[in-house]
Amino acid sequence: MSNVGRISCVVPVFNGDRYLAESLDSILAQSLPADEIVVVDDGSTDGTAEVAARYVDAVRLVRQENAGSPAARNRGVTESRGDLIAFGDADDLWHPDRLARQIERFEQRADLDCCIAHVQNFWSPEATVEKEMDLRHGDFTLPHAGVITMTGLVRRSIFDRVGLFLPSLRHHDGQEWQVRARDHGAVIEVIPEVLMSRRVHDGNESRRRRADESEGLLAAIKMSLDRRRAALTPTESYSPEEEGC
Amino acid sequence: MLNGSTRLQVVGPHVAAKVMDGEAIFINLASGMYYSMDEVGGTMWVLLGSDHSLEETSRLIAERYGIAEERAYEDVEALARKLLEEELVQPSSAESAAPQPELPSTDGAGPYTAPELSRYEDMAELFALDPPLPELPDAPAS
Repeated sequence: MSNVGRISCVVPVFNGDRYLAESLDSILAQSLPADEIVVVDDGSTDGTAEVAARYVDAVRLVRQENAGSPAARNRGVTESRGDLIAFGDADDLWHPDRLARQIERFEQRADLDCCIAHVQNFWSPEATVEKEMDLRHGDFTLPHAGVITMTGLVRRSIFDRVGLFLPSLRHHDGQEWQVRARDHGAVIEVIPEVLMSRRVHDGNESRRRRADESEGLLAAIKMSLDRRRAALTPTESYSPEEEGC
Repeated sequence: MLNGSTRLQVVGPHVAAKVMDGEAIFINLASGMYYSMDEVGGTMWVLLGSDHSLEETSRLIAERYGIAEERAYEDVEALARKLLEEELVQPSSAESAAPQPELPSTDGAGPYTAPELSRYEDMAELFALDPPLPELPDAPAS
């Protein structure tokens, strides 16, 4: 247990038998071990359950009917018992010091609600798209800030204030949560350290996104605008300039 | 060059737009900036975003709000220019007759005012998190 409370790791997975073991190994190799690892199998039809069963001594497996990754993450939040919850995707690899570095931030900042680390993409050895992706998106070879669902370490109590992830969002549920958390005054810190290796492969769910599937972000924006406008007193006027324009 | 027969479409694939509760929201995923348009602007976007030309849009707006078609055209054209300047839309090559879109209800709608496009930058950093991976047409379902 860390000095700031017990740590639960929540890993939702859907048909992830190919990479789950590597991901779990990287969690189990943390320099600051987690107190609990919860894998939520979101109705997989492949060998995910068998892979998870190999970790029965170290991992708690929760199974549910397929409901999407936000719902699976929410299940992980409610099933876990830690004071702090670390999220990660089932195909990504945790840096050995991920939890130690993020816990340090909570030790140094009593007001911190959520710490998000940077991510470095890597191309899975069997991926067939490396060359094309390199050519088209050079920026993807550079580290970039993660999102709560990928590299977030979150104080459990903030979910009481902000709520859980929106199951209705197929994509961008992490960004929507962060917008909502910001509107509720949550303290979110993005640290520059790269603490997660994000696997790029032929089956990444996020590769199937299209701009017309950005409804999650559009809905998040609309809800945030409505929240901010509702928060204004009748004597105040709403000025976009005050919002940083 | 804009004229009455110009039709618009969102600049793809990094721009997305949707009208919710009469308010049009745009996001530019490349810049992280987002935009909102009030009820009149939202109604104009419902029309412009469904392949109506500037002229067709103006005519329907004039009918809906009981204003002169010339005034409606001035405002529609000004809005189209702003959307173009912000690189949210581009002229479309669509030539077919526009379908009749479902316009927001006029219940509770206020009087006509020239539409405003508000731009917000406060979430640019947030929306830059976890940028979408490149989209490839052959990506298999998992």
